[in-house]
Amino acid sequence: MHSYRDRWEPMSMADMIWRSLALLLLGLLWFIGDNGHEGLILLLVLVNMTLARWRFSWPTWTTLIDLAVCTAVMPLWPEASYGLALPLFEAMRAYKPLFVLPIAVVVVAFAKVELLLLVVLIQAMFAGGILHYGSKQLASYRREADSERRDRYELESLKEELLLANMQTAHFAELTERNRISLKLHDDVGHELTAALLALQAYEQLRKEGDLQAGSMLEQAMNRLRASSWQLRETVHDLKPARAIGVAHLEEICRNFQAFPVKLHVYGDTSEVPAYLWIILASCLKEALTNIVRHSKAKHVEVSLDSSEHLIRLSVHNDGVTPEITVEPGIGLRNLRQRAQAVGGSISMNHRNGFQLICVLPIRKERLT
Amino acid sequence: MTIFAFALKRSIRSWGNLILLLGLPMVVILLPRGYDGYPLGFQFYGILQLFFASKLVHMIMEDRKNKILNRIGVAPITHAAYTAQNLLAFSLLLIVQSILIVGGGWLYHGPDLGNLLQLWMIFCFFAFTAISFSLAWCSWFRHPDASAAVMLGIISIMAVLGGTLIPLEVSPEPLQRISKIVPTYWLHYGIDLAAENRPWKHQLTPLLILILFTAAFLLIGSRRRLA
Repeated sequence: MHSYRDRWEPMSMADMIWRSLALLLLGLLWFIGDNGHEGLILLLVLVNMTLARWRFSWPTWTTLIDLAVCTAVMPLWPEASYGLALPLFEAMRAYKPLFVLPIAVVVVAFAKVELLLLVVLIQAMFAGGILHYGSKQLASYRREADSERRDRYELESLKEELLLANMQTAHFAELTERNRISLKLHDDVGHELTAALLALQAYEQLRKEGDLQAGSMLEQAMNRLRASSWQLRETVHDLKPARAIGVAHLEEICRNFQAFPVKLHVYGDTSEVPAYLWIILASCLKEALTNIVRHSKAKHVEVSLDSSEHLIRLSVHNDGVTPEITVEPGIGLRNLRQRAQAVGGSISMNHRNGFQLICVLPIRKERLT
Repeated sequence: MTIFAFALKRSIRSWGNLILLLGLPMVVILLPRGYDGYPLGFQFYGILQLFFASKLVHMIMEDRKNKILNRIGVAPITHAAYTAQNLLAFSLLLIVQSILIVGGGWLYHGPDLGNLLQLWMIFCFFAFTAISFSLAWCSWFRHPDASAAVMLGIISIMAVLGGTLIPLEVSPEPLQRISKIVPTYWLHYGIDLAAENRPWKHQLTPLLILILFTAAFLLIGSRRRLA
């Protein structure tokens, strides 16, 4: 039924300022005029209507009450016609031009039409219209801002979900691989070793008894051990990925880079760095080296990888000049920056003494269950 | 127990309020006549009404201070009902006090008081105005003590402007004009009309203006402020 307005918004404040000024000026007119009872009653009615509009959301037809009181007081106090500015303002504030018509009729029929009165009424009409348009625009901007904020929150949430999915995938891949290794060791190598152990125990017993079969039993044990050794070698060979990962991958990139020699320095323990960060670091290194070839005339390139408990930092430094990159980063760097930001990291550039690209990524310690 | 009954009991529980409610009417009635021959007590009664209303309405402020309003907020009662029942209880007390004053005045001063019904009506309407004015005033303050201290000054200014302490006839003309926007002016205007036994149609003007003042103060004062 009503909307309580305890929150001061810019447009409602502007409304109140205009209404207060209008009432103040009407009060001044009454004060310097005849100071009669009728004028005071009109003022108090208009004050009450204004306060009620401030407290509650009143429909536009209530401007007819203001109009009726002003019209009733006008024969007794002619300056009451200036009070019509208030209902006129309210009608235009709500953008209901239909309610302007009765006010216009009253002005033409009962008021003493003066230039000042016309100016006041036109000003009230424009003020109401401008404030209506302003509040409409403000509401539209707010809706737009809300929508953008909502989209941003959704994107943030999606990014978090993707990151989590990435980490989960890496974790499950690790578990699957562990399972495969344990099966392989148990089914092949384990069985052969057990058989060899049994054969050796049998050989020992036969040797003690002086049995002639002891020799063949030793031969069997030797065969078993040979087979398990071969299977262990095969397992390790199978386990080794065809493509290098981790630091080895970075070393491979540096080694295979033919344009000029690249020095790679690794500091700290990199065994705790998760797989999804290695992918970003490798992409970052490739992008940096490609940019160096394309844009700089570098002679020396140094890559350093620092790993600490919570951070991993990749730095690619060259002594060439890179005027184009200093202006604005390209699509590749922008994509890399987004990927780094997605995992909570950052990519920065330093143009002092050549060009340096630094990628810092946090190492998350939480374990997935 | 309804909030109305509780507010009524709470208002008369303290000795200070009881003295203000029952003791003061005796003083008001017994005061001598003024320069115009009308009993002085009836001219000062408006100021006493303002003080008494301020003291009563400060109970709502105490509720705010003691966080009772927070409990009201979660109770199955609206803030409007809480305020309305409190104000009705305060109004009832002031109406009863007005009856005692007018009745006692009639017994002590006789027919010199003029139209007693008109006199009682103007006192009742001014009581509503005084209560709503106190409510509006308190809504601007957080602490009851600060509000009460400034309220004393404001009541004094209203007494001067309204013509209670100084006759308006001796005031400068601009002050006489300004005095019309003070409710105490209309109380005295109504008292004068009652004293002169003027017809009811004349009394309607001060009554209507007091109603409009009451409505304006209520609209300002009934804002919900829990902090």
